[in-house]
Amino acid sequence: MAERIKELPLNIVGSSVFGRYPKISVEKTYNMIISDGWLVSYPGFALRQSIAQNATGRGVFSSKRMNGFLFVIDNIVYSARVQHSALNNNRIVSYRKIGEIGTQSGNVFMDENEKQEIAICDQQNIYIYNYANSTFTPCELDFIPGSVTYHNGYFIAASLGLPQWRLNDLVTTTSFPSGNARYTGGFQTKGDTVLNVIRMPGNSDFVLVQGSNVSEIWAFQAGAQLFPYIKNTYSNVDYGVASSATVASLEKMIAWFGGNENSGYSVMCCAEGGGVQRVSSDGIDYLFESLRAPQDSYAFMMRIGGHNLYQLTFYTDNLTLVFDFTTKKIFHACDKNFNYHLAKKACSFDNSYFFISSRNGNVYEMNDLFTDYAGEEIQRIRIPQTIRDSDGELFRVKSLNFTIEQGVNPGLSYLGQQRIDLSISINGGQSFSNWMDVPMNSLGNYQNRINITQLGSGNEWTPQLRFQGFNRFAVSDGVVRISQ
Amino acid sequence: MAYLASKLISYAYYTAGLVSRGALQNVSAEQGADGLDLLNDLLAEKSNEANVIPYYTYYEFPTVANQESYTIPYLIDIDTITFNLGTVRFSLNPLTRNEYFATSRVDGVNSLPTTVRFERQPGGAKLYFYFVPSQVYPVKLWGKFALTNVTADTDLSLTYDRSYLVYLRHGLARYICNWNSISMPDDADKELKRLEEKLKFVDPPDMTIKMKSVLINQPGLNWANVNFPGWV
Repeated sequence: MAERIKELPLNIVGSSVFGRYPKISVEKTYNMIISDGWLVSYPGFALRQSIAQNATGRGVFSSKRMNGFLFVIDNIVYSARVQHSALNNNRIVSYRKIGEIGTQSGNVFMDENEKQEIAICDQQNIYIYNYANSTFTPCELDFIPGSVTYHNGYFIAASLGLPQWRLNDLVTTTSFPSGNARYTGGFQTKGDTVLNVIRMPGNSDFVLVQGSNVSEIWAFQAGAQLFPYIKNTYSNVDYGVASSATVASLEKMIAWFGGNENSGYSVMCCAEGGGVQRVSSDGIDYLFESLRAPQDSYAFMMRIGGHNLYQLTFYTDNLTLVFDFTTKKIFHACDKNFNYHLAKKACSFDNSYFFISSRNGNVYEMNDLFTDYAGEEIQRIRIPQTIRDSDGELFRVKSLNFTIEQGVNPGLSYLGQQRIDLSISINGGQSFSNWMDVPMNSLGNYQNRINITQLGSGNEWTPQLRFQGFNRFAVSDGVVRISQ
Repeated sequence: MAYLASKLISYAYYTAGLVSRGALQNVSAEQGADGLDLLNDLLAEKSNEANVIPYYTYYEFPTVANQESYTIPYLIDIDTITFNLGTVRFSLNPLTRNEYFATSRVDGVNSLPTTVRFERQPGGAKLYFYFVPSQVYPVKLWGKFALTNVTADTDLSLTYDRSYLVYLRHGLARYICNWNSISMPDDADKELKRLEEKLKFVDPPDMTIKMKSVLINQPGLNWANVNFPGWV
């Protein structure tokens, strides 16, 4: 019987594809994304300022008019400025304390009005920072604010525990008048409480008022006699939020993690016009169902390399997912130890991103130019689809070939030369073998083909590739030669 | 350097391409057990394929007075066979089965054996002598012996040349492929065939031409043979 050889495509360029069980899909991508049909690194980051190690980052907000950004570490609010080093043009973050808030932990929401004021909500109170005259003033509230956002002159706060959302006084910013229907919006569609209000990007006069089970679209109506917003009476979004810290917006899109009384949790994407799209598949819904604490989550959106990325972290469940709304793919992100990604909330400033972390009191800069995680190697891992032959018969894997950019990086992995590690599974991804090192070319050696031979046998075969090194990677799809 | 059977088995799995060489995989316990069984099958099967056993082995055993047949373990082929009476070596004439067992002869004649018949049997071969040896004579033969069973810890380098182990590795790889219902890799299959061809010429049988006239007068059995067995 002569050997029958087949060449099968191997989707090295791919995202995390969730299956209910590993047999269905074990496909995963850690800390890499797809760009122009190639698999490239997820943005790295660099430490830009260390405020306190045993502290917690809570929120960050950038203001172009202030020419800086605010961030909150523990109970202290800082204002940051960014300069460029004359030596290497690296960004240097300087900061100063601008005030203290009444809580030590939890999420902090911020937004800015047209009066050079930034509202800071720690879910206990709201503070108004006026960067023109450097005042930091707590508001006198008769409700517990869940979040704060700015829209058409108003700071809008969700009233936790109540089916209400509140507007501030247009003259006295620190005042959210009580008992006044002109400043109080009511939740109407379901018996729910308001957790979050967010303006709808790209829809100038609309805000999305979110509870735990439903989100209502309200339109600003200038000159309205009583309350300046009118609820959209023919449409709403039948999903609420699990955690208001997961709500993020970019361009014409709002994304959040939520559900309703009849539905499990999902990532929701509300695009222009109020239509909501549920990012859903059997596998990812199963993953969300298995979360122990879905409410322990936060997220942010950023646009890097032309990709609208929504990074969602479940810190109790130790999981970070990245939703690329540009390619409509999902990826995993993690730190060096495979714990959830360090970034909690990020803001864009000075053509870069700055983030704070829930795990320390540092400020980091994040963008595509960084190819490590603050000096640590990025765990770039790709597990392509499991290869099975149509007849389910045993096959041997003679070789694995793919193209990878080589020779352009002087970077070294922690063991020396930049390299690829390979392990394989022959049981559908239930378990993987030890790692085999494949050294990559040194600087100036541009040969770009990786060919690994003699890769065992099975009737299903899954490789796991780990790209080790401190520099960039660009990997293409591959081919596996099997024989029977 | 020791070359254990377990190493041969692992290398055969690598040659078959069923287990990856290096850090990725090891031959599992189950594969190792299968491989050992298959290796012993392969070694046993070589007893039917004497031409790929490159070694002729010298073997000596004594006859027993008045005993016609002798079992020699693992013997699968003989090339030469003689016996000694003192310092004199006598050749033995190998007969076909028909000549030995189906022609006229006088049984019960004990003397110096002149003819011998080789018969394979389970576990080796049986040699039949006629005349039946009348006393103890040392019989000396050169033959091929079957390859003996091994365990995983058997050091094959004590028994086989490295070159023969290469052949066994490829042969075992083919067994393993068959066992797993998968074809042998083409390259390995070609190599196996090449090795087999080479082996046939490592230590070939003595094919020296011996002239034997068919025109001489062949006397029948007479009383001299009976009264002076072996000497006329």
